[in-house]
Amino acid sequence: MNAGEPADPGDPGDDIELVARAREGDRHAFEQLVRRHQAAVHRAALSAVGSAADADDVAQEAFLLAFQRLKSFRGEAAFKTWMLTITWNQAMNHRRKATRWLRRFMSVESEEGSAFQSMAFAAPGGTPEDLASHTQLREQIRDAIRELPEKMRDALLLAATDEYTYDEMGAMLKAKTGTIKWRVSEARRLVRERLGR
Amino acid sequence: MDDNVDPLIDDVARAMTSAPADAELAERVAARIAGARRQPTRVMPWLLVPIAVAAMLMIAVFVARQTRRDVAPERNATNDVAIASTAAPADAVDRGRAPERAALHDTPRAAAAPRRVTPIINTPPPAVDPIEINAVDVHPLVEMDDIPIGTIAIAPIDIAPMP
Repeated sequence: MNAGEPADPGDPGDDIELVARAREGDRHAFEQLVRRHQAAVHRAALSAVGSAADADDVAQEAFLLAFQRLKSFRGEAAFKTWMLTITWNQAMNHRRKATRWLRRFMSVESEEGSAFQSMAFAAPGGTPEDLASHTQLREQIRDAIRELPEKMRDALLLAATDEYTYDEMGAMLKAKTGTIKWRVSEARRLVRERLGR
Repeated sequence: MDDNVDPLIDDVARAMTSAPADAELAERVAARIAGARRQPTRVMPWLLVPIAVAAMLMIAVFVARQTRRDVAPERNATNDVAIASTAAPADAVDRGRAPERAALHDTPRAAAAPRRVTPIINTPPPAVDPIEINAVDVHPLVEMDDIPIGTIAIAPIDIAPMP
């Protein structure tokens, strides 16, 4: 695959071959791995840190760390799972280090540039009243998600992406599949409760 | 209503994490990897100062210790003999004790024992012929005559009784 070609994260067998080449010093092979998995990695980072800019930083650091630790990758799990675990750990470090996380999730509407804050919601067609009502409901849901306990929110945001399997989420969150399913369900219940529905 | 809300919750959650990744992420990662390879062992200059100071201190301590060690054997040679002779009875006493107690007794003494200095070369004592020296006749520096001293006559003093 050339650098300009679209990424194909579907074939883990190719990942192993690319990892082997990258280990031998082939930088282009690692660049291909980055292209394949950058969307999944960025989304996981964004789920954890809540800001697109911070997620970019986390993703970059995660890929660099993965490159440095490439020799320790034994292929017991898929490269994507291994990469997501590194990403999540980096994101957790980022979250712990800074009070940015608290600022972004606790302060309301003041910040610009935060993915969670400045998200424009697509609303269905209808009267202006319908549109306003729909937008208001979505904002209420967003606020309710922001105020969830971290474990619930992480599970809900990761599950909602449809990007990861439960095994991958389990590797990231260091929890069993059943636990993650319960957290997602509990997160939805808490949001509904908050909305009064 | 709940059936409608759950998809909406998922939709909002999905929208919260749907910002696209930086288009140049792969290039930036590749550039940083290349940069890291070009400068594999870049030591910061300010780090060299304390390292140099520490190295100089270590050398100074080493030299000082070596100098003291060279002087010490001459001074301690006779002491070692004395300590060795006093240590011998303690060994004899230990032989009669339980092995554990003897071991306990031995450990600190072994640690405290001064370092023995063994002569590097065993040379026989040099044979030196006696030197014959004539007796030296020394005359007295000053010869003095006796000084005759006559008797001194002292008259008794009469003291009247106090009133």
